[in-house]
Amino acid sequence: MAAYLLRKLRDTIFTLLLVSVIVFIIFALIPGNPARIIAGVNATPEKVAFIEAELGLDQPLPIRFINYLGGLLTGNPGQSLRFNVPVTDLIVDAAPITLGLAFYAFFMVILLAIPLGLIASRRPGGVVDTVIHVVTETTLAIPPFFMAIVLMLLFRVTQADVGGSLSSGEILTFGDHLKMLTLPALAIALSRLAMVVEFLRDALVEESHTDYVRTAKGKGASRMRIRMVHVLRNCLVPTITALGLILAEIIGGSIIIEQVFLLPGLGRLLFTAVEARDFPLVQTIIMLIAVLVVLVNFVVDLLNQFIDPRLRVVQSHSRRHRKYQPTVAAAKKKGNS
Amino acid sequence: MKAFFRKMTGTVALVIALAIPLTACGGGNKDTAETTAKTEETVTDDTTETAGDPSTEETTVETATGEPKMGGEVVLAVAQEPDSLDPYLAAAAGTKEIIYNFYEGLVKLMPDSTFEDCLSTSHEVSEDGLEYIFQIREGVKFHNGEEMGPADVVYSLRRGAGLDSADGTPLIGELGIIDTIEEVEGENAVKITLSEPDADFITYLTAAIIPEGYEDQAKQPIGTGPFVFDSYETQQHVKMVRFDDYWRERPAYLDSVIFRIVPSADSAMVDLQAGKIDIFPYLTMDKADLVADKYDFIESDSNMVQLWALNSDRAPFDDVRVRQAMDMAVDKQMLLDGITFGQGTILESGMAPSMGEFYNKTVNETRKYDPEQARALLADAGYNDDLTITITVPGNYVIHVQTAEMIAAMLAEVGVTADIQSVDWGTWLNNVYEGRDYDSTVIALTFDYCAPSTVLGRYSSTASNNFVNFNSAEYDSIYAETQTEQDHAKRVADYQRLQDILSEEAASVFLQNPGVQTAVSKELGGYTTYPMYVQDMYNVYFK
Repeated sequence: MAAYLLRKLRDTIFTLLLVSVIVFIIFALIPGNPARIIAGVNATPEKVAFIEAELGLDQPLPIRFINYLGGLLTGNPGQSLRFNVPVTDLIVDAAPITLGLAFYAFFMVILLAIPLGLIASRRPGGVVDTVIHVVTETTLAIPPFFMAIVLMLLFRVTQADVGGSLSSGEILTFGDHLKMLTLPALAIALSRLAMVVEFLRDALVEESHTDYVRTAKGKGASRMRIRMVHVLRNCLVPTITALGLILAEIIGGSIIIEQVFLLPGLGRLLFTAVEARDFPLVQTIIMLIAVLVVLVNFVVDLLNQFIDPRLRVVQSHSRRHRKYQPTVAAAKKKGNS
Repeated sequence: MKAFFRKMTGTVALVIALAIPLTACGGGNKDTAETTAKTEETVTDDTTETAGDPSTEETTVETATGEPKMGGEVVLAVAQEPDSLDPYLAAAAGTKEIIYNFYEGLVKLMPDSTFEDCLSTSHEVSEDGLEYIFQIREGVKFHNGEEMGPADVVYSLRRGAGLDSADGTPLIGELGIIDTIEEVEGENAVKITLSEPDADFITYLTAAIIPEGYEDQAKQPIGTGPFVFDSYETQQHVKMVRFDDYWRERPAYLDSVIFRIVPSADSAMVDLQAGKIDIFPYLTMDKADLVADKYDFIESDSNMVQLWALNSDRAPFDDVRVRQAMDMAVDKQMLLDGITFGQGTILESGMAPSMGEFYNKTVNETRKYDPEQARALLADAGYNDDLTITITVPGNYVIHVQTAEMIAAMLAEVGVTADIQSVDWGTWLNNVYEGRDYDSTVIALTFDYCAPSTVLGRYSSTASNNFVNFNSAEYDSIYAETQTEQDHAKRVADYQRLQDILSEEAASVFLQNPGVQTAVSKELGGYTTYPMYVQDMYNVYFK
């Protein structure tokens, strides 16, 4: 286990370094001087030079990059160029919105996917199964931002009701969260629902043909008990893997959905930061997202190993693993319907 | 980190209780409460307003204007995050329009483009234009309760002129010509000596007077203005409250003002429609109908100049005939109607009407649009339907992108192909404005000071901001003369001549002085506009 953790840690550090180098290269390539962007058209070259010196921009980008990484090691990503406050302050203000939205959407997926999966698998290929399949595939095909607009029209909600008048860093109550984040979360959840429902349904269908189910039936256990106690538990591994995959997507998706609903989360902050060529801020936001994604995958790994001891050996020989390939699942679905 | 967790608790609680049906979206209580409070405040006026009879003109005017009431909070939307609240470090126009309410200078720009003594009571200028003596106003208090005096004026202007800094770089470039500044012995006055005469110098003395030795302006601004800084929350707002010890006959009407930072004009529209913003200064007329029931539209007198800038260093625009042909190919009336919905003034040269007597009316009212002549000029320059040019536009400004598209269509009429290249603002500033690496671009120029030299100085060949690379010996020599010219009439004539040259040689294709519309809630009165980008909240009141 220790070796595994070390390997994971090494991979994580490597990933983050790679991500930061990519951001650095992009910054080195795109034109734009943060000091000039702050100062505007009318500022004299002297004023721009003054701001550059104030912000420490008179040093070349590679030096600033190394300083940035050095700062990061000591837990200090530095000052935002555009906002002139510590980067961490801005992120602490904005992250709760994005993470709140992502987790809200995530739990919505779970809440919707488990019942849908259970219902769909009762009679594979039946009317209910087909309807659920068609509906979830449709919501999958609709891009979340468009779904967001449709939902707003449907519920007669305007952006003003959601995030329009909200600023980052405001202390929000439970009610505020519910009011603001429900629709955005739903928009994200609907588009990510299909995959989890399919994984769960397929696993349930497959498991219900196994020997132990027959045995349980033979022993006179009720249908309900078999499904909820025996089968569902065995279907958790593929479901959790699917959830892990979509959680990373959901975090990314939140950033786009925020723009539609005008929520002052990391997405808006990132957008502003790129426009302002705010190198430390962009770096830190992207690193944070990368850390989150890596962390989610790591937790999924751990959870699966915890639930299913068979996965502690190399997975590639596992028959079940093949099923994780969406293409296989899709092909099978075609056969079913 | 603590704050982070506190904020996260809401989310966590939410996630736990997700079993609650998802029906809670829509109208929150907070907003309803706010609206009710506002309605209560104005309910008395509403009745009189509707009862007003148009035939009795005087009374109507009175009820429509409403008696100024003390109190209330006004919310303005601003599109930009402030850069620095320190008046000498602030560079962005979006910051200056906010901090205008904290600070005052020796003189104040009036709505009609004139200057009035403000923290001075009177001033004299010596014959040679090198010495200025300002009598300092007594009984003016800073927000920290200290009395403002000559020492503060000296400190402030020395700081602006860079006289106290190590390398002598002025924080405000225009103040760089200050040679010495000192208190006048035995008098409550200050004497400023310039290294060279500058007829526009008085306009730069709108620079903020701040308390001597106070170093924390960027965090906790202190000035003498009608509003006191309260708080600034990044990405949220700047809040200010009334300064009760303000020196004029009365303090501001409003209790407080919030400049809310909105991420985009779209989100501001959302807030406008919901009535959450009282004043929005950047309204485009196509959106006006959406909010006409709640807001009045006030046209601000901007000194903005929108132009299709042609790079005179680049072929084909290094040929004056091609530039002139471009000028004749563009139907400016059509642009005005199509882009700003007729809300603006067509320009044929580089200065807007709000510059008063310096504005050359004759040249600007002579239309040059003539596609036939444009074709002839192009043929003369050797181009027969085979000219291709690029227009690089800053994509974040919809108005400029649309203008470029219309121009491209007009150019097609005279056999010129225009490629439009949209770049982001940072790239535009870097490549086009500073790098001068472009064929042509569409942009609107604004000016930090209501001074003719600020507007026209950029076309002198050596100016650091001459991004169109205009180069005219005659222009340069006249411009240099105007800088030291003390005879006012001669100065005015010179500046008018400069505009003639810009037009004759087609320094660029000047398009229009776009009208800036400010949406002001019908509940408010007293909103004043200036030929500058400022939001003066001193006279604003709830009816």
